[in-house]
Amino acid sequence: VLGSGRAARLYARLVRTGIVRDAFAYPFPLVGGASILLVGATGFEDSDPAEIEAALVEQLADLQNLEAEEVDRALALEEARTARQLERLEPRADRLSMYALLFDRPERVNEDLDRLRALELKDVQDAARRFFAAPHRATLVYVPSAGTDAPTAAGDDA
Amino acid sequence: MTLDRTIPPAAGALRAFDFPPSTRSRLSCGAELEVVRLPRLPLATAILVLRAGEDRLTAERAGLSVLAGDALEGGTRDLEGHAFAEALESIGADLDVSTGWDATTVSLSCLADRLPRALELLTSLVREPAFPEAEVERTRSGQLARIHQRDMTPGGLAGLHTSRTLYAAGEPYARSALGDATTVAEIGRGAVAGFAEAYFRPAGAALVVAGDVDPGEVSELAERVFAGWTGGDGIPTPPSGAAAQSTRRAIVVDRPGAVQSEIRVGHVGAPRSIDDLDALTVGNAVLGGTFGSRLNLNLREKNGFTYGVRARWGFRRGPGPFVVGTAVDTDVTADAVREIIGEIERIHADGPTEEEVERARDYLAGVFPLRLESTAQVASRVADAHVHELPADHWSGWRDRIRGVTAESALAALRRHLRPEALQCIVVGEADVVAPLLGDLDVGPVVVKGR
Repeated sequence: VLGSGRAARLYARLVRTGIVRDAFAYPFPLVGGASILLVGATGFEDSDPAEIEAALVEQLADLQNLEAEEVDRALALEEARTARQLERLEPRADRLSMYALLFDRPERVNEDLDRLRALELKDVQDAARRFFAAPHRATLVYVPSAGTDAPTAAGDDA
Repeated sequence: MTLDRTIPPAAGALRAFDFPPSTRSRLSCGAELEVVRLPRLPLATAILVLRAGEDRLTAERAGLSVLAGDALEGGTRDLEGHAFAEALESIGADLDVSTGWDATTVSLSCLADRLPRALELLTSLVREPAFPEAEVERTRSGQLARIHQRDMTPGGLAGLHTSRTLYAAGEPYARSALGDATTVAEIGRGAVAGFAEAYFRPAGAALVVAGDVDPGEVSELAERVFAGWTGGDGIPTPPSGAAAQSTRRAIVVDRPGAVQSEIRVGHVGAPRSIDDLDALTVGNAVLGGTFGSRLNLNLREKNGFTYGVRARWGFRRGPGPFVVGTAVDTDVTADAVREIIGEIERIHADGPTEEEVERARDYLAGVFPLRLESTAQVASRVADAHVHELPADHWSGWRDRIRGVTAESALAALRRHLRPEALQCIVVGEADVVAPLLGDLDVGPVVVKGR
């Protein structure tokens, strides 16, 4: 709902409206300890990083105002993307090994879609309230400094 | 049991692999239809190939095809921008628009049972794009940022100067498909809509569908969604790809204080339509197309100049570039250039050995099935065949043709297409250090340029 796809909130509310150039949100699951949700945006040359941060925080808070339609759309997209991931051997092996390692249950791969489909609006709101609150948050700001070039890999031609 | 780890294990026999069969037909609107049945998973990918590549445009309009493709994000007359994205994602479909020199392709992937609605959306996007002013402006701003980023990075600069150095002034391939800041800044909504109006047309177009679908049903569906779509001037003549010059030359693009150099060595290559493409592919794999290639073994493994070096042929409808590319420390730039030219000269003179050809053949034939696991990958290959007007059995026979390449045929292809006497060397780096050292090599006149 927040950051996956062109209809997601960050894209619709911040990118299409010209507040930021691009935006993203994705989880970064870890084996031990707390996993991470990365929420970010790239501004324009004259953007104020504090304003971008405030806009992102506002979108996190607004996850309490969810529409069932938004959750359905996110589920439809996730369902198709999961199926497409499992078409290829490497992502399939990744997912099997992850479930074998973390849960000792590789067959969990067959339950992914059912688990997603069972989610209710309230589950998403509860998770957002529990995990996305200010005490759990840290902000990193990257700003360009004059005269530096980004390193590129060989053959990285436009 | 003790393993002798000094000897690589022998490769097993190549497993059989058949490219999935397909059916080709022509729709009433004039576009071709190719359907590939892949019943492994309930998924489908559709790709619409449009003859709307950057090769359609004059230099004054450089970058317009890319902008027109990206501005499709503005949706349709009925479903603008966000509403169009909602419609797509509510059926779990992902859409992607890609524009290159030869074509614009609009692709979508979804669960197979959602294909009818997904194709309706794809078709309406191409036939009735809205191009709202604000979305065109946003897309143009994004493209200008990409151009700025390209022009600020050594790799981007190297690519830009390579095109300019290889091709004669005025040749489309002498510029970047992305355009430049001047041309893109001038493109307005009218030009974008005009480009789509002229070239998002069925003549010369092709629709490719791969997945768990019935070819007959897809044909009926395609007839329905494309009914009444007309026009287009078919497949344009590709650029001639005239070279800027036929003798060696070195261009140093100065970046004072740079600790690394981006190196490109190449010349105008060959069009995709050459009849010895497979032999050239294998020959190039030996030269610089794989990790175990001569160039990589020399510059990376033996000399430690770089993390990686590659030789690539940009196969387009017209003669795209042949380029060897790498990045090295400033103080070994000339040594790396010398080794690159030496490897090109050696393989042109003596050709690859039978063992090298066998390894390259096995590698290329072996990884082929691994790159055809998904409906999107299969559809992409088939769409590529339509872009380049390849026969229907092109991919089903590809593996056998690659395995039929010999050291002799690889050498013949390399001798026909490699032109060591015409190598152009482009270095983006510290000119004060690099230029004098290049002057000691057989690279032709050395010219220093600003960014």
